[in-house]
Amino acid sequence: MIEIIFITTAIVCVISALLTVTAHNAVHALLYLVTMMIAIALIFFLFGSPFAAALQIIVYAGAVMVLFVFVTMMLHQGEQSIIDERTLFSLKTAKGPLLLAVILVIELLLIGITPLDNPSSQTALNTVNSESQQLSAGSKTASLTSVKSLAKQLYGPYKLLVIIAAMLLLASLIAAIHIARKSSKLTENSPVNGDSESKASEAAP
Amino acid sequence: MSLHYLPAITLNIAILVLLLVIALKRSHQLAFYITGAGLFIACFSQCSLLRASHLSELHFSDELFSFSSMSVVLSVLLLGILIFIWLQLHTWLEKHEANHKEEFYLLLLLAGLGALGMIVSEHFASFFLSLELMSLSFVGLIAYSQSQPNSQEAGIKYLILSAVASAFMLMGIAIIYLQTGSLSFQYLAENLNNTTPSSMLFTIGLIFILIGLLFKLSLVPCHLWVADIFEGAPLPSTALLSTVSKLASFVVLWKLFHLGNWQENQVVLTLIGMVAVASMLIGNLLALLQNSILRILAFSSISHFGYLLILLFLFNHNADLLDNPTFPLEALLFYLSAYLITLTGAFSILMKLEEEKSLEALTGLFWSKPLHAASLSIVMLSLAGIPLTLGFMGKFYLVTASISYQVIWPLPFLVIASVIGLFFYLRVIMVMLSSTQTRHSSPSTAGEVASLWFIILLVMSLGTFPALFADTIKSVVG
Repeated sequence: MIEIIFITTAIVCVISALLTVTAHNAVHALLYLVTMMIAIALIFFLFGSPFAAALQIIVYAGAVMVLFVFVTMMLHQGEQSIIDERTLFSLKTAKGPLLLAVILVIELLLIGITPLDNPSSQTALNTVNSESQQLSAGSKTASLTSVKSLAKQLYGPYKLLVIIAAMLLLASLIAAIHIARKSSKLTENSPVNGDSESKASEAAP
Repeated sequence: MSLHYLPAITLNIAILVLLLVIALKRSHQLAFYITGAGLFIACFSQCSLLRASHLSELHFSDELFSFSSMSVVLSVLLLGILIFIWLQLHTWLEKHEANHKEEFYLLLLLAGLGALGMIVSEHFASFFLSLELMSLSFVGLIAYSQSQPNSQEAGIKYLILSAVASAFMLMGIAIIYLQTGSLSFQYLAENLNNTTPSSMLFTIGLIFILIGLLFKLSLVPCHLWVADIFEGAPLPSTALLSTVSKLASFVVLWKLFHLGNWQENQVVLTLIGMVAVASMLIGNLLALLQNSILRILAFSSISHFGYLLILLFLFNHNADLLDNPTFPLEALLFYLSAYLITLTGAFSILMKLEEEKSLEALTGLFWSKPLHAASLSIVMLSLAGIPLTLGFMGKFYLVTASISYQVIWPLPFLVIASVIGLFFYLRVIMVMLSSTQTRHSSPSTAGEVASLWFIILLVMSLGTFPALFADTIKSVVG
């Protein structure tokens, strides 16, 4: 049972990833990307880490994707793009992601109806986990994937990694802000309004 | 928290202070001094660590990082390179960047922190996060200059390609985790010796990680990005990319080589042999007809890391004529530091010349700026491996080590590649000598002259009297 669900999810994941890359329209690509993220979340869920699945949904499918779609739409402004968007979000074009997402929903319902009785995959993953050797044997399988144990790991043995990850975010933030910033040389040559207008008109077609 | 973390903590504090200072008041001078103070304190604490305690007491490891005398020396080398580039940074940024100069220092410190983390990493998680910290800072550094579209293009190229390389590496790490159930290098090294390491899946995992590292080191199958990025990026970023990033990646490659019996894994060995030979030959062949000095340096760095790969064959090799088990390590450290010192010198000379990236712009440099030209020729001779320079001693060490371990087969390729390499290194010198028309030249400042003399003296003196340097390395390794 779990194998079938996993294989279906994996296939959905790969198909939507391929369609993300090959889609001509940015918004279509994003829709497929959301589907892929949800499929990955389902895989996490299947393998017994609901917390990772929830994070995947909240962070990627939720926050990041909304940002992406938002920015993509902000870049398309003007009369022409409104007409474009009307065609973009017709049911016909949303068919592909919708179909893939429906498959995922059906799988989720299946899991809900028939609880997975074989925890074999979970125990297999837990025994190979080296960190679990430090935990006491009794609490091993139950609490390893809980939020509390995750937090204990992060702020216990892995606390330096949290710092490095913070620095990583800082580095990417600085780099992104610096690259995206308009240089003052450009703004001196052309007035600010004219510059942004010309950019908008470039982006519109 | 051990004292070993002091340099990294210093860099962290410097980054945060710099961030606050930029937010409150933008001042190029202030940013320059804060960065310098951070780097100097970090380097000083690292040096004092080396000096204060006995060498055998330097070993310290926890789950994520491990420190040894080797890693301390490599960190000192790294911080030294950073300081040397930092010294030239102020004048360069004043000249070439119109506005927002301060972020460059921030990204420099972040990249340095990432490289420092990679050198001491002992766990795949810490290794990967440090690597990402370093590469993302480099994306910012490469795409830094806003007036040049070239640099933005190079930044995007590096971003996409390094993301692909990271994906490969993550996949490899996941496969190895699947096999062994641990991400710690220590655990892998201890536990893989008793089991059969040559399972297909494990080999595939190793190759995936290898691809990622080969990309970072720009060795042959993954080398196509290097020339464009060297040419497009701002000069200090190129200097950092070719020294700091490659040093850290090579150290990780060397560390991984101790894991899981790579020596007995025939597939991986064959692969590395092919990569080494191809890098030596193709790197030098591609450099032959280039017209930009940066492209020449890019391709020559491919071949130099090809030479260095030979040394990886020697570890755990049984035949040892010199009866000195640490000799390959000494050779590795010597070659690596010799090459990196020379290359840092080359880039800092180029940073002092204005906008002279093509070979034609260098014509007659001996007449307009004799000291610049002399130091650049000495650095080029050192890269080519001419006696009395640092590069020669590095190559000498390398060849001696591989002969004493009877790994003879890569040496003919090394000789052929070096002969090809001589052509374009000498071509740079010839171009500088060729013209007689004198051009107007701006007088050089005292600091410029001092740093040029420093480069010349360092390369020549360590090449002529290598004993002191070699003894230091020997005591560190042994």
